[in-house]
Amino acid sequence: MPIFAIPHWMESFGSTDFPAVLKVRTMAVPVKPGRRCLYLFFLLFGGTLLFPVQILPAQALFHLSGQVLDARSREPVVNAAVWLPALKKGCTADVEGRYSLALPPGEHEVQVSCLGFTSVQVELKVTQDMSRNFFLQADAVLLKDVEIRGSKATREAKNSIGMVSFTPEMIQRIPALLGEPDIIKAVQLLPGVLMSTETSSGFSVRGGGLDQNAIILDHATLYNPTHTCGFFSVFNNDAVGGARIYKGDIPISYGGRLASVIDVDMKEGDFRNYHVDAGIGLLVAKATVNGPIWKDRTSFLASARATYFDLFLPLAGMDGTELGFYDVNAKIVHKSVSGKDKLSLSGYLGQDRFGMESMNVGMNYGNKMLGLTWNHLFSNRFVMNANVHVADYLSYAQQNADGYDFIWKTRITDYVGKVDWTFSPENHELRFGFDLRYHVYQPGDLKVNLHQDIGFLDSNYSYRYNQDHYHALESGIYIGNNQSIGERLLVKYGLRFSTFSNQGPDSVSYFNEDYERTGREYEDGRNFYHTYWGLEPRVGISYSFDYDIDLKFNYTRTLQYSQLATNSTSGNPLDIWFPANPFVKPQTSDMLALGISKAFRKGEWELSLEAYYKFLHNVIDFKDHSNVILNTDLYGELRMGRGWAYGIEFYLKRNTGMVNGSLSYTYSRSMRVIDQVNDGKPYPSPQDRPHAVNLLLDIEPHPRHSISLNWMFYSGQPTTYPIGKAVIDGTFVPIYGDRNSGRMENYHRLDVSYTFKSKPDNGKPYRWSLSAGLYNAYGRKNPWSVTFYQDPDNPTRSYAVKIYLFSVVPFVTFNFNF
Amino acid sequence: MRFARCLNVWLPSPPVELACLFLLAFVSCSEIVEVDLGSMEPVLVVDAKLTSDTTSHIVKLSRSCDYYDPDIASTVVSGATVYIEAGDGSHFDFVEDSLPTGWYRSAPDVFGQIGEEYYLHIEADVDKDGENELYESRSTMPYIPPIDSVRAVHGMGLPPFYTPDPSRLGWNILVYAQDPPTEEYYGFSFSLNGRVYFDSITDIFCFPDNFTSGIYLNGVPIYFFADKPSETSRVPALKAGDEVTLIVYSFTAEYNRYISDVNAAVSTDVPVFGGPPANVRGNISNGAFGCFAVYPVGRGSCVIGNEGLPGGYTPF
Repeated sequence: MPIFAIPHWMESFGSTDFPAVLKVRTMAVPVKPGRRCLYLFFLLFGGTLLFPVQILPAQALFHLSGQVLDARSREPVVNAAVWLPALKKGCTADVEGRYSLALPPGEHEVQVSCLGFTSVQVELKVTQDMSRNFFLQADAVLLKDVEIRGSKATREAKNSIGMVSFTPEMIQRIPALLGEPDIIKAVQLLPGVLMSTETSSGFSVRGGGLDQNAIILDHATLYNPTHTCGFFSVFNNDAVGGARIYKGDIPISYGGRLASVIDVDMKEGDFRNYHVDAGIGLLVAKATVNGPIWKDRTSFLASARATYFDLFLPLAGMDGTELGFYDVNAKIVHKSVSGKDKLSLSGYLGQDRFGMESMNVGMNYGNKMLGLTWNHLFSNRFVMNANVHVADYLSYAQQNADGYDFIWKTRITDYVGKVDWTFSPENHELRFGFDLRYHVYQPGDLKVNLHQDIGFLDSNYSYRYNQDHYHALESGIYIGNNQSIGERLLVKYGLRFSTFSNQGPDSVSYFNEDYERTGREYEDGRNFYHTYWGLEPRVGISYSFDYDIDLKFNYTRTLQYSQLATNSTSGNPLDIWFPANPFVKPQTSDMLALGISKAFRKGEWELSLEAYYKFLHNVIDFKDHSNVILNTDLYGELRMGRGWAYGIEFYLKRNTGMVNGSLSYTYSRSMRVIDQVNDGKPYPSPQDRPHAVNLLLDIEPHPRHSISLNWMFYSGQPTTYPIGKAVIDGTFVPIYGDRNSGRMENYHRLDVSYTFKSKPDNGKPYRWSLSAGLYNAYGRKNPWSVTFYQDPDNPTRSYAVKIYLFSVVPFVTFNFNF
Repeated sequence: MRFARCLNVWLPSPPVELACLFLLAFVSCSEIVEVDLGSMEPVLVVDAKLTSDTTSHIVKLSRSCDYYDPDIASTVVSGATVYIEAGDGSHFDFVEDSLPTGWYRSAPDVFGQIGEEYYLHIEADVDKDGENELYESRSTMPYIPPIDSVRAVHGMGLPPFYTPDPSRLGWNILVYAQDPPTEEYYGFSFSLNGRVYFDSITDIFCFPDNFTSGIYLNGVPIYFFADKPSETSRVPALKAGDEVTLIVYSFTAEYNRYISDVNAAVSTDVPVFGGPPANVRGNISNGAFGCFAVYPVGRGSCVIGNEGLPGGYTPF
């Protein structure tokens, strides 16, 4: 995970706009294989002290480095582009806003730009290694300089293959359900990403499962990124500094998930001034405060968000009902005087609650995270990021009645330590590091207390029922390089070695090929009794042709050792995470992707076409009639198989102009073959939606007024429909066809929002904006489920009932900041 | 719901289900839609029961039909050869009724015995090609413990019928019996003044003994008869003098699974909780739908006393 100084071209194979000027090999001395290993060893473990090889700097080239910062808040501008048009050379600033470039001596025109900021253009005379910070003005008047915008857009196009980055401003502009901007909803609009069900924050990337996406907040994996059963995501947009999504070409520093990574950085507080952002919508209120604790040295950010649905429930005749969530983000950042060290402490706490007074029942679930990150610059070209964190997901249901009470909970806790180094000599960007993750899985603990005699049990009887707890250590060690060869070719190669060790005490069931239990073994003690390991090579190549055409190809292998036991299509908070073990092999994905992109009219328009084919091994599904809740024999419910997915993604984007936006079309299929499921025949995975169209339009006729439109179309969700019936005791018992052989109606929806803002330069210390809009503007009744009933009035007939969640939903939000 | 059933009946449905359903109810709407469904080659549907009661047992045969097909009367399978053979060599022929067709009856003196294995033999022409196909099944009658007594107690519902509403009073029907340490799958229905209630496959109250195996059932509430039944309740109100007979069955694991599958298939799961729909598992060969159920039946009665009194007590 990039903590800092990781230009994004390294992570996603994307940026051929680093045509290398270099003619000098950095590692001029060939190293014998044996020594190379030693060298790697030193790189990985010697780190700071033992760095053994003198890197020869390129002659006649000087380094320009520094930071791109927000002029107002002095916060780093993530993903800012630093570009030298004359040399056709540039780079993207990392999450710390840092950039570094090697230049020949002389006078250079440098353009610095980022979406949501006014570009800066400066002349620099380079006669030696120099450091220079750039300050960008946020979100002012639209850029007028077509030249700059053009080149910026080109760079984005080149970066966007495999990786897309979001800023909070971009997310803010997408019309959102109930007016609450949401990263995950924004990600669901990308080609190749399919939302699982209406409102759900679950999504599938290129035919992968819902649990194959790593959702990361400041390095910590959040196991359930949803609030309120998926209506909202856990990310409060006001506390988000930036986000990156990798749709398949996953950088070597990430492991543990097959399909994608969404890496979200919590925003840092301003080191100079205090700011307050507040927003109030129909259902959610939120406030964010940030500012310095010690000017220029220490800053803080605190952000809270809470719902107040509960207030309205009595109006709807629902007294005694509790429903809602809150979440809190907090971050403290301290920088050393030299600017070479930075410590940040970030925390997240979210909690959802449901309750019904009449039944004395309640359910709570939430994520917690606390992490400490240390960034250190050995030099402008060599940086280290170290992080330790704890992440926890707990969900519990309880009831307190007169006769009894019970509490049921499921939990997963991660203890993680990781270090990442990036070394960027000329034309190379070498990245290496390791991570260690200790997982504790508690799939289901039930405790029942009786206060009353119920016939076979005395009162004061306590009953505890625990599914096995699992402990496992996951580790990864990786090294990779991004290398420019000549002006047009960029190659990327890296290798990740991951291991997963199950730790006792544990009981392991063994099954034969027919999934019949052959034995059960008890692993006593706390020793590691079983280990899987795997190599995950990830390579890519990218070539720039004339006329702004880029061609790229990559191969990515990923392994996943933990999976979600859900046998529903949309997931729910009580879903259980469970580890690979001697019986369940780690899931593996091999993906080949080929992409071509072109920029038109100096980058005003971008067009890209990507194709992929993915092989999935050791895919898991549940057998028919499976039971995952409170099942001591969860592993006995699993069935293994394989899968494959392929698709073509077409993406057209206009970056500038009064009307801008994007249009995407994806054709994709995702299939599975699982033992004993569907009689062993291939069937479409629940995420198989062949046709998907997304249209996003942003119309800004005036700096104070803007209109956003978002239209989406998906093929209907695959489902299993009855193809016949048997009549037993007068009851119709459906007989089902092949798994997922039916399809619900197509899904389509239009969302519209209108935003009215204060004047951009109102001369006052505050800004405000008012948004109003419609979700599902034309009231499409998209099916959420289709169920079949026998007509109670005429029992010889049956009919189908479609449940849809929303017709038109209006929303209004007011945001304020100073 | 499947999810609720998988927890034992004694545990209330986890509130997440309620909460999310509630949330859905808050925002969702529904409408009747036309859905094009495929069709299938008809298969034989068997509903065959042999119990320990001495009576004329029935095997019902029909064909499956398209899901929307309203003409279920034409699905009966006539002209089949049906018999059951016991492990001890006794042979029971089943003869087709004149009306309705598709029902095959044994002689009235037939009964099954605990521990005996029974073989069901059906020869029927399901695909209408003029030739009979063979369908077979085997099942062994499980053990059933005797009911010591049945008691009716007036008051608030005992778990799992408990609700916090103190005005909801009624009769709890409690059972007293020794559950043997072996695995049993009980089912319950009842008769009120001689009329049997809740004995259809979707109404039988299944009670697998995984929580009570080897324990003495010292007054386990099986039914609750509210004094003021709600409008939707199909449980009648009781009055003094009513005779309630608790009927207990001891099913095979296969038949218990079949009942559970049928109920899962006909109940309407919402996708948040249900897995993909799956076909009912039976025990008949040759791809037939249905189950050959062989089970013993036990009974215990009590007479309802006056409200507030401890209630009747009738030793079995």
